[in-house]
Amino acid sequence: MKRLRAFVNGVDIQRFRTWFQLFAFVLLVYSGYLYIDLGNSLPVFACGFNDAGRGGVCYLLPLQHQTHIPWESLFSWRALGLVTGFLTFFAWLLVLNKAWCGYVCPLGAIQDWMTALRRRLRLRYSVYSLESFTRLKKVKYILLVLLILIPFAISNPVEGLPHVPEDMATPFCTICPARMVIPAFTGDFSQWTLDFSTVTALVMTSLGMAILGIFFVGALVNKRFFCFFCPMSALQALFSNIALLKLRKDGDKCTRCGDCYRVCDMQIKAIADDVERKILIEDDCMMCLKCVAACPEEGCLKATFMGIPVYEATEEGFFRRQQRRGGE
Amino acid sequence: MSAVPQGGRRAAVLAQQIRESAQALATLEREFPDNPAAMDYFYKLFHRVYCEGERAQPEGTLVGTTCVQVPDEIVRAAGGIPVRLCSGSHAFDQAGADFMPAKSCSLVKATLGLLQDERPAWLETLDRVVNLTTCDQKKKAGQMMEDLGCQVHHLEFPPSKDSEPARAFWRASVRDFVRAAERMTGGRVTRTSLRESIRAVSRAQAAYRRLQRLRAESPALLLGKDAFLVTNAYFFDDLERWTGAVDALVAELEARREAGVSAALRRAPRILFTGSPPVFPNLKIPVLVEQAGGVIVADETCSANRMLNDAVSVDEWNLYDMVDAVADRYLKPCTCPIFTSNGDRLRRLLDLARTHAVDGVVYQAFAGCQVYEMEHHSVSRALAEAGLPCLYVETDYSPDDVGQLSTRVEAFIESLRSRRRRSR
Amino acid sequence: MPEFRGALPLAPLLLLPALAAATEPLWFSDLPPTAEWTEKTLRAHGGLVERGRGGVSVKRLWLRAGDDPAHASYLPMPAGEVVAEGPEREPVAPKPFSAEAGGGIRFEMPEEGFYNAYLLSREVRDGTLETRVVKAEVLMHSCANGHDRRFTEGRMPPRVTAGVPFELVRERKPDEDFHSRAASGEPIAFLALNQGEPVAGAEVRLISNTGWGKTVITGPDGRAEFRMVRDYFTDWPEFDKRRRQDYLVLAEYRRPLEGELDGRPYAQAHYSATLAGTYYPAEPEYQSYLYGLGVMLLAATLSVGGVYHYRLRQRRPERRETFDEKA
Ligand code: SF4
Ligand code: SF4
Ligand code: SF4
Ligand code: SF4
Ligand code: SF4
Repeated sequence: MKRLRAFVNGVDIQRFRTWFQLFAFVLLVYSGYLYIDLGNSLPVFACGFNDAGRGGVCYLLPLQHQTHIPWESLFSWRALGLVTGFLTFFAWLLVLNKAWCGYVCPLGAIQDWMTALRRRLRLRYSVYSLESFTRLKKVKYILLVLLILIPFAISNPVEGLPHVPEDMATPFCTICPARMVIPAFTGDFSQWTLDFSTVTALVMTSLGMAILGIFFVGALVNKRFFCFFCPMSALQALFSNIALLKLRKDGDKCTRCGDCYRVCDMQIKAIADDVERKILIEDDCMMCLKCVAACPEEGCLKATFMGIPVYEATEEGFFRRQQRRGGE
Repeated sequence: MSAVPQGGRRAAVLAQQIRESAQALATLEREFPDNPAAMDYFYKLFHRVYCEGERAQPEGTLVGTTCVQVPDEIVRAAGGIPVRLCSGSHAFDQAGADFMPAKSCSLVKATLGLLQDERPAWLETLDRVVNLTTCDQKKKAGQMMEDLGCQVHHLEFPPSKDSEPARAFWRASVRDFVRAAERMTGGRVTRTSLRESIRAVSRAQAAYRRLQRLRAESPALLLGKDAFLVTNAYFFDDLERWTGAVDALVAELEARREAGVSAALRRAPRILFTGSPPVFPNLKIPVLVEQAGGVIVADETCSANRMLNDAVSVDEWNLYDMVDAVADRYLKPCTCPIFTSNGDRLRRLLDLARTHAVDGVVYQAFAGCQVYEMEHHSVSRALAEAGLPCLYVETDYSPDDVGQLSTRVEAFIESLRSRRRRSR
Repeated sequence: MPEFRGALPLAPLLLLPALAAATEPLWFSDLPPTAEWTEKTLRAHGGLVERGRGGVSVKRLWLRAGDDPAHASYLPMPAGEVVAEGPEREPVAPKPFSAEAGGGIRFEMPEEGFYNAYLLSREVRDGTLETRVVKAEVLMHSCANGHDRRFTEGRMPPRVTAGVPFELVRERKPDEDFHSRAASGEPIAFLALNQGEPVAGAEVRLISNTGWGKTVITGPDGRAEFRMVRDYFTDWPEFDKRRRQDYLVLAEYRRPLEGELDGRPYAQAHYSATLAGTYYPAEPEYQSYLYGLGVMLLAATLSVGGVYHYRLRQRRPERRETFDEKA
């Protein structure tokens, strides 16, 4: 048991994660061909527009459909879909917590591949200044609120207010880069178009394509560029504290060396600076556990599942990784 | 500075330095029974370097550094060999008094004393120094080193470490230093050379941590005086050889543990050492503590723990990230008292005390080292809150106060002993 | 046409002489005759539905007469039974209804997939056996039921109903699923089948609600392929990509057949069948890849420029802070 622990803690988490992400990517993007279906409440961007290959569907898609519901129906059987959809989403989230983002999300994996590409090209990455970071991280909450409110507003027009056009029925999907990127992996480029049918559709699809362009450049320059703005991450964050997988910190052992912060793709400063909180899952965190791997202090950072440590910072593991990595 | 000492006086200084080194070595080696055999490497090394003036380093340009926060990895990547110039010699301390006011820090004075015309043989060729702008005394010493004919790079260090601008400033400073180091050595910092130097230092740190891990055990397996000698050797020894020697020591200590051999009695009070750094041959306080029956199991000083504990963590093994990673490692975890806040130092002390089952703390402050003197209050308050007795010792490199100090140290150790008995 | 009102129910094959006597083609449509009725409907993937008890989708099909889908009149439903079956070949019992504005049938659709409903009649006239089949193929799909592909694929293929003498079947496209719709400008094909066997030489006519029509004679495979007309042209601001248009398909053929029905002999048989459907503007009419790529590349180029500029600026530390001189 002890040896197993030591082995696990010595694991190069980045390599493990890369393989896991690849597996998850194939599962979510291609396994539809094998009729695998994990349902449509997944807490990651397993894009529903990838009709042919998807092995499950991103929860935001049904959520936007389900909130497209008249007020009266909220208290009828029709709200059942909303409730079961949410409960399924919640059950998924409960297990892996934000590690869905770090380990499963296909769009997350694509961004990590772009990071790997940049690294090979030896281009340096950019980071946000602390102020822009604090400002930008609010965007995802705004998007989340909008993607729920807009469909609801379509179904519940208010006297006196302008009517929200039907083309805004899935407002986030139209501007979500995954809608273009993920289906492209099964050769489906049908989403890469501008829709001239109405002004709203034109504006929204143009916005979508522009965001796609920014996504490609952004993800090449910033690590996990899109995840800062991802409303799924915001939705997960609301419940991440009750999930079973946790990222814990023993502040007494922390030297505040910042090693964890500097490897964090999400620029989470608290992971290094906060020595008070025992559970340190910030809203942007994707539980990639890179920070755990980068922490040289024995037992300072650890990931636990239902209280049982699954991956822990150890001196031995740290120094082993330090020698092994960087072959590229 | 006009006070260039005459040749005769200089020779006397060197002779005195050799004498005190030999004497200190004799104390460390002979006055304690049953030293681990692997320590012989270190005793001999110090003898060769300090008494015979032999050079321990391989071929290459020596680059003197005056602080643990000078990034060794970069000097090494540029092809240089970093040598830490902080000296513990009373002879050099006296010689250095020509430059600095009498009331200033012994360590700074000794470093200046060391750099004067006639140096120990192995240091003769050294004329490149990286001086870090930490405390006022070191800052000003940089200029004096230039006057002594050294080519000095003033590596600018921020006075605070918590803010992002401080981090950015230091990163920029270290990036400039990469170029400066290249100029000093004529070498080039490349992706491969920096990666290899980071890894080599990291291997040394891993060895140090293995040793430190053993020191946490009870009864103690290694005396603090030996541990300080080991870390002191890191100042000037060949890196790979040093790592090998530490690994040998670790192996021997592990074997001793299996055989039930320990370096101190189980009831010997366990001491955490903090404050101004003990540097050979000035191991006065550690020796007094252990002669009195205590055992130093951990330290928070820049000649040992602070120098070797914290590790570089690289995310992308390209220069842009490696250089920043090196920079971060020398700023963020640093517990030096020159910073505006000392919260990290307090937490570090308390953590070491906890993990090493420490009974009491010995706080050394060199007379004239204002920053350590100033932090004494906050530190002893925090220690008192944690129920840890602390002995505050203000001293310098002169042997004059040994008698008086030994009485205080003995009394302190005795009080720890009786405290232990009571708590049992 | 009041003569239909008192028609007798005839089992088992619902021989409705009165219906057969009508010369105009009859067909089923889900488009309600009045705004009042439209209000009761909801848009669903298979067309207009009503909400039944317990949330079950209910389909209401109106009987219409005439070969112009835009103007065909609504008829009251003759009393009697119809044949219908659900996606799993389970029999469904549609309820006839009659209203002021017209009549038809109505049935619940608890299952996902295609429902087939028929109104059948046989009659001998002038020594010819006249057989009429009015068919509706209705898709039931709600996204709330999920999109299990294996399930969907299993329920995609068209079915023929046993005992129906002649019917039209819309051929599926290879990548068709429950979300697919027929689109203008795209090919659409039908099979004319007699008890499941292809009928060669049948005359198949497709008519759109803009009055466009085309006739095709089936080959030995019983297949009739059309390219759906592009007949929706409008100014851009009025363009509606969800604009529904109706089409109607009529098929008939004759063959020598000797026999006797209700004591009336005949020497040949004449079969006719109808099937109605909807189509929408095709995506290429309002979507553009070229502009899409253009916008993306423009955004990407601007981003590259932005990053480059930012990095240049970062190199000059003294420029990092700027002050507002006007404040
Ligand atoms: S477009 Fe984005 S939000 Fe919509 S289903 Fe796809 S991944 Fe989810
Ligand atoms: S935050 Fe990133 S990884 Fe998580 S769901 Fe969004 S895109 Fe995927
Ligand atoms: S890497 Fe570990 S010790 Fe360093 S700041 Fe992070 S948590 Fe603290
Ligand atoms: S805090 Fe740690 S687990 Fe969370 S994103 Fe950063 S590196 Fe990954
Ligand atoms: S002991 Fe204090 S004053 Fe002296 S060099 Fe060190 S930090 Fe500076």
